[in-house]
Amino acid sequence: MTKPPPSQITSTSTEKPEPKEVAARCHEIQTGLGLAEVPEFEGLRAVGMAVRLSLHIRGLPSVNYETMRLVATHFLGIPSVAVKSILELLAEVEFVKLQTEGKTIKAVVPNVPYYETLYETLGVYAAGAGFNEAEELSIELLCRLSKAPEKVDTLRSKLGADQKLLSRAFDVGKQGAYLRVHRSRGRDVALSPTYFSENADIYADMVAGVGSRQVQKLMKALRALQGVPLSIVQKNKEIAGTKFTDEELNLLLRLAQDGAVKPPSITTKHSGEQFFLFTPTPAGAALAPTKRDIYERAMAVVAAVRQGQFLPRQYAIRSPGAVLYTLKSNLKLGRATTEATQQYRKLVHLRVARLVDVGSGFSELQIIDTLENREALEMAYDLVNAGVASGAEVDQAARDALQREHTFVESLVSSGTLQRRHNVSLTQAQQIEIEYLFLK
Amino acid sequence: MKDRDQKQKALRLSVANRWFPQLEVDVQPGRALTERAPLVTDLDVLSSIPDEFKGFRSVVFDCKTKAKESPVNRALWLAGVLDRLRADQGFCILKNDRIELDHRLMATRLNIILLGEDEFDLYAKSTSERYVLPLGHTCEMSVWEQLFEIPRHFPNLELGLRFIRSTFWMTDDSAEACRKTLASLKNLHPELDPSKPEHICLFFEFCALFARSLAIVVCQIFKAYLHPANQGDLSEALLVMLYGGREAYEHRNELYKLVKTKNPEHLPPDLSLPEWERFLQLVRQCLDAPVELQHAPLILREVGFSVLRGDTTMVFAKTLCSRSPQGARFAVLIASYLGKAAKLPPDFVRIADVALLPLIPVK
Repeated sequence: MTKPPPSQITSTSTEKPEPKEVAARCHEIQTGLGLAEVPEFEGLRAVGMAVRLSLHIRGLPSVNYETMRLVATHFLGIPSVAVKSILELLAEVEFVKLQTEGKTIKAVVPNVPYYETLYETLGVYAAGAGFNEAEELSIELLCRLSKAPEKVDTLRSKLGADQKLLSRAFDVGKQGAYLRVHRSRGRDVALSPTYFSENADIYADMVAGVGSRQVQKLMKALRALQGVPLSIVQKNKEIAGTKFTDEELNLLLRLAQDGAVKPPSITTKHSGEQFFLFTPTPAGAALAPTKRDIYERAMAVVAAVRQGQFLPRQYAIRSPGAVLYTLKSNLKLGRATTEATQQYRKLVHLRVARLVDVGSGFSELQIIDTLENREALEMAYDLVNAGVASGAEVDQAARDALQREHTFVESLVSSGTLQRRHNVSLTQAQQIEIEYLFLK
Repeated sequence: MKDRDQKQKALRLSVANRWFPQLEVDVQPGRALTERAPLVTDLDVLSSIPDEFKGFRSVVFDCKTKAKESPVNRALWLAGVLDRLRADQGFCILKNDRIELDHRLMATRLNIILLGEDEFDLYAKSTSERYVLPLGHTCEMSVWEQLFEIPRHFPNLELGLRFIRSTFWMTDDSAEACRKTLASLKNLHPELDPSKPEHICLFFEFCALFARSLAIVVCQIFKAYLHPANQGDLSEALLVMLYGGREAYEHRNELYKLVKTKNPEHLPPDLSLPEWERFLQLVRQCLDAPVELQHAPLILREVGFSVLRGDTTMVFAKTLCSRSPQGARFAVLIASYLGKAAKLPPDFVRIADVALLPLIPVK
């Protein structure tokens, strides 16, 4: 079984967060804040920027320093004046080698490690460099919220932080869009939009009602069996060995009904309309905007395979991992079936695959060979095997730009198309506010 | 050196095609009874041709000056050599250009091309446009002679030279060759002095050979795993390959653990190459462009020879790097790993960085 990428790893203990988690949280905070200035954050921003830059240059041949500066500012939200010091930090941890002339950096040769080593190394570096009180508080806050939303009062008592400092941490988090506070049932509930981006109010309401532990349990179970059909959970009252009480089951039902766990649906003649449960789609630092569409396709692929696994008409899929492996390597399934048409219709709508009629009611599933679809299959494979998709945090547009001629990137930047990417979409609260404004 | 001109031409053809040539390889009998077995023969030039599927194919050049030997006899002899070395193709370059056409045809069936000395240029120009262009230090006989002279000035480096000229090429399994290259360099580390160009050149030579064997290992891993999903899978696959199969690894690991009980500090829990984490990361980086890695050995050798020659311009090395920026990046990473794993003075890695980094093209 593959391990989840560290950006989406959340430690299970309530002890001090592990170095790799600290680095992942710094990355989220930095990605949220982008170019915004927060005077009390220093080391945290540097580590966050280092993670972000590392993720985007991993595996590339050498990169022109000037190009990197432009791309870092316009795509990755790293201020141009900071790029040099971040590169020096990366050189210190041996993530890059710098081609220099005197004191001027000419090019950067990446040697960014794969797997969890990236986060681990930068986390250890961060621990050595140390954080100030405000930084430590924000990191710990986010570590807790990455697992489940939590009541602000509970957070305050658990963290034991100074009231002023905590309010400021919330303010900065809200401005950086990596933290949100919802008011529900007369209580303030804090949550991380990176992990609970959609239908935040439902989560807030649940946490205000029953506390965060149950939400945490549900999320953990869902991660273990992404795309499980809702009806199966209702019938068995468990997901992958985790038993649920009726109360918890009702919670899950409510999440699904209200669309919080974003259920793609498949309608077949033999099993009716089925909903498939996933953990909330990540956002912000954990899912680059360019990957959102791909992530949705991946969910649809997983749902189709789970339909065949749990609710077949005749022949069940025994190993969904193996089916996805065949799909991603051969771009088609081994044989045509009579079930394919209904099971995979959604994939046709999403332009992921086509169904080729081979006669007598049999259809063969063939993936439409595009880069996006191949990536969606990789993500689907990861979702089934590890519970989370890896590589989703990398903005492909930034990587492409890093490999282009310097003059090309310059023209791209000057055309102003890049700045537009920084428009932050309205939060749900803002949307409600606007709707209210027009209603008034 | 005998047959100098012919060897030079073989080197030129190799470098023009971006193959990785090795001059004068001593062939050992393999499973020998005596401690220092007498050599079987020596090959004039053994070149490694980058190959997407195998990592490298090999071609042997046999240069012959004596006019009275029969060309076809020589071809038959070379066929045996190809078999011993598992090489794919042979060239016999002969003084005598009156070779029977039927003999030529028979030789081609044995994967051997029989060519008269005068015909070789025609063959080379027709198969590689770059044959007539400047081709760097790797195809200069005088630099090779300088390299082979090193043990005369530094007798303690004799074993290193022997490894480069023979032992490495006699190792059939590339994962084993990888391990042995590192072991041999580590063995030399107390002798190597970064202030001496000869020693730096020797370091680059080891890097080049390591890169050659690593390219084959990476090629095999890539074909089986593409990009392994997690570090554990990659680690296991590499350990099994490096130590000759699971059973062999487990056996050695048990012995290792027995030894470790006597000296538990500073030793990793299981048997692995030194700096194992770094090695895993190096392999994972190379898996990003496994075919480009096959260009790294020639880059490393050319840079080493430039250092030996005192040539700081490194014009040809730059040409090689511009054709394969990823290959050049891997050259940098390999030198870093090998320097650290063999516990060489850090200056070696620094010098390699200073030499290699400016060669990588900047867009």
